[in-house]
Amino acid sequence: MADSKSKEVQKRKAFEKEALPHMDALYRTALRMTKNQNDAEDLVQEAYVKAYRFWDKFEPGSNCRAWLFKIMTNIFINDYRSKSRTPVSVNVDDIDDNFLYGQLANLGPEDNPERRLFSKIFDDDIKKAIEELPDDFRLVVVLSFLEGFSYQEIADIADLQLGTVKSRLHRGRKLLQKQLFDYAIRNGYIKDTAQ
Amino acid sequence: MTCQEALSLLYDVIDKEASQIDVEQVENHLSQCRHCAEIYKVEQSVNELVREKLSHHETTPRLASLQSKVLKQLDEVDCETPGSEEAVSKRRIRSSFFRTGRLLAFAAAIVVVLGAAFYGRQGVDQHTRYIPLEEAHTSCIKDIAAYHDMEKTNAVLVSVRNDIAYDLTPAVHGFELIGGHMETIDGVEMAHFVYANGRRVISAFVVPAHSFEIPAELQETQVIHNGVTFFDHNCRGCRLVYHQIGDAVVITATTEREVQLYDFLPGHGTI
Repeated sequence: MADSKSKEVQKRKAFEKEALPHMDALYRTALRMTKNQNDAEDLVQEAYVKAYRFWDKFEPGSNCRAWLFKIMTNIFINDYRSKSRTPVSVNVDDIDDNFLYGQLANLGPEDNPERRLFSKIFDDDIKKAIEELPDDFRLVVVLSFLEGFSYQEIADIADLQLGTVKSRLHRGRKLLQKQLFDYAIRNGYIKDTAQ
Repeated sequence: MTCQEALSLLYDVIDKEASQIDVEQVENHLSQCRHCAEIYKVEQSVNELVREKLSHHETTPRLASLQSKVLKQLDEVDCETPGSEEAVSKRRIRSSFFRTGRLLAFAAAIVVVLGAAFYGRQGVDQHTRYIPLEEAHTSCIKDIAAYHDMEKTNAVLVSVRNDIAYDLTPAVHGFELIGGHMETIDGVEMAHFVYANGRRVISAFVVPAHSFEIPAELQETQVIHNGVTFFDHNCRGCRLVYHQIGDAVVITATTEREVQLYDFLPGHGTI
């Protein structure tokens, strides 16, 4: 009895030391994925409870952060992703591969037109543009851009083929660039050269 | 290397996923091709700027409270012992009328309120007050057939109506009332009605306002939806939404994520 008790205490200690420091990362990703604070908090809590229950499945020394993200992503996909999948309002394949380059080139000779464009875009605009991405694209974009996971890590976390990760990331990027560019035009940060 | 080959490696290079050989060949190509070099430059700096803007940490004032919520839930997992669910359902006493339990419920409510004030000051887990409701809901899902007795349900409906001005609706947004019991939950006697829509289940706990108080710490969760004020709490994956109509406090509970409990009003006040 005393033995199992001390085992419990050790488990709790190890979990708090290894898993809890990743909470801010899990929360900021949860926020981008669920798009609201309450759901993000619920998602993080559920992920931690599940991780704690399955702590004996975690291999000591392996990447705890990636393991926690895998658990949270799984809960998100099963329970949180809206059942009516967000339809992609823009056909991604209609966007040129080098859309932004083409648009910026039209702005005329300038050294760093992209810097001029982005210096005016607020952090919040980027976050909003990310939130407007369809769930599947948003997940890989957030894991890559926000969390810096490698393609292989994202494939493991989201249970996807490597090729799928790459293509979703590519398409997510294109959508993001298009949205940011449209946003910059709407707000008059740059002139619409098409007009 | 052709332009097409160089551009097909664009994001692999930017994301530092390309092999050393590929990177060298791309660099070689870019030194000879201005067009591709421009595209790489634009994409690279857009990539950096997006990453940089995203990495600006938003202040997370809720992180501290989130951390304490998580720790509390870990405490609960630690406390779980096999067979505890059985003990809980045995503790639940059933009787048919509010009146019989009213005095007891009133006394219990005082204990709950005093207890909460005392424990609140001591910093002891307030989360425990939600667990009995969460357990009542999850155990009714497991044993839903036990609620099907319509005769019993009608008796409960009548007793609710006699005791408080509250009328229950038999069907709400595709959910149908399938039964109800009187249950004593955490020392307070409540009517526990069960609605189902296919596999999805919602519990509605109805209790007179004089014997139950919506926990004060939920104040900050207040949401006003269609003129009704709601408070809510997530207990181990079960959402509990509280509202008061007239002299009835109604708590709806579900573990179904898509169900919007703010839209689920099982009944209304009567005159």
